[in-house]
Amino acid sequence: MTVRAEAPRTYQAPIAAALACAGCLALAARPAVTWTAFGVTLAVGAAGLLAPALANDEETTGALAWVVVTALAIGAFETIRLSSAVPPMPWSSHAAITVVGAAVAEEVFFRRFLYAALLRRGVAVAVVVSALAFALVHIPAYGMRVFPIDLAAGLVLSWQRWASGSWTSPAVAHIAANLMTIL
Amino acid sequence: MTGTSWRIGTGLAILVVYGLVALRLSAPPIRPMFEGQGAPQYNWVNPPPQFAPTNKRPEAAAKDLPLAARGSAADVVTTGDGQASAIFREGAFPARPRETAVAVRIDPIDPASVAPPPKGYFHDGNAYRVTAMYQRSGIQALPRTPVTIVLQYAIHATKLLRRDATVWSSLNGTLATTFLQIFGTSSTLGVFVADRPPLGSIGPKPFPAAIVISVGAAIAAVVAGLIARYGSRRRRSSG
Repeated sequence: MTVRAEAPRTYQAPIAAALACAGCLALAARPAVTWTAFGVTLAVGAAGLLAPALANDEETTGALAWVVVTALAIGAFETIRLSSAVPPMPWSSHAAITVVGAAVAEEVFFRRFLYAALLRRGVAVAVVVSALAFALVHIPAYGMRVFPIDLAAGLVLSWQRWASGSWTSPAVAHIAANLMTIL
Repeated sequence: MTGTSWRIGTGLAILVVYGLVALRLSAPPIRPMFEGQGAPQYNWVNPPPQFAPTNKRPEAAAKDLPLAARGSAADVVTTGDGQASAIFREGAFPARPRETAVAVRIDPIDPASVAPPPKGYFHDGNAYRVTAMYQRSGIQALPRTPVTIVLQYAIHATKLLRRDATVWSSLNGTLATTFLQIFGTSSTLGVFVADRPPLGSIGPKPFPAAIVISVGAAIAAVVAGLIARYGSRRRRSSG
């Protein structure tokens, strides 16, 4: 993983750093199981979407790569879901809206914005640090127990971002993984 | 290696790591990934007055666990509304001659009809009676491996209790607060309930500081995003 991108040219690094810190803090401090937490997550996703995409941040991959990478990740999540004796959460429209919205918002922030902002330091740094940040912000709400699984899942999602060249691949896999908890 | 094979190879390695981590943590329960989602309304056998108008009757569960030479198959029995589950490991119930299955039932009951809570605690939802019997003979089936009991609670449970003769025994439950669940392992079946301390003694709510920090940081993030977008446009137009 030696590919390095050019430094962000569309906006200043301090702004990117401020956005990254504020977004991570907002996600880490969000209370569990409230509409406020959902609103905070959407706001952070919106912030990640407002930040201009960094041009030429990596080589482009094709549609086939996107499909293969997305399928591999969903397959991994589904395999674990099927092998785990955990009863699903009861289905509700509220739960469905929340898990889908949160998945998209988090992927916009971590894989669209943060990954791209880190990419000038190398792909490995972008993959690992964005996955680490993803896992860390979930600890306050879910406990230290979820850190290993969220770090591993974050690595899968960040790898998808790298291998597919798009944040939409991890977003689709994240949505699928979240829906598996209520299906 | 080419760029594509390097990417796929790296990905497969990461997927294997993810699988090992997830399977290593699969007991007690774990999901593919944790995510924020709202808790469903709690269904009471005997609802407090404020919940009575919208209360729905809680659901029971019944499932047959097939028996093989090594005992019963690993399985999960969950009530229809998801408020109570019992997770059985493979071989939890020993095989018996002429028996083909163990019938497991989970029934919601009013905990007040069982016994008062321990001093200083309150029942935080329904009690659930978990029973198992060999299907053909009707003989009570006793688990030989620990059973994981998962209960959803109503407000703020801190203890998972099992009724043993005349006392409540604590099962050293683990909280999954995001899902309003508490789970723990039990060596026997019986009646289980989640209990909470008085609401006034729970301590300072995390609400004010957490909300202020979280919302404030989210607003700051949005402002930073707007500045980034505005600055980018301005540089493009001036360039």
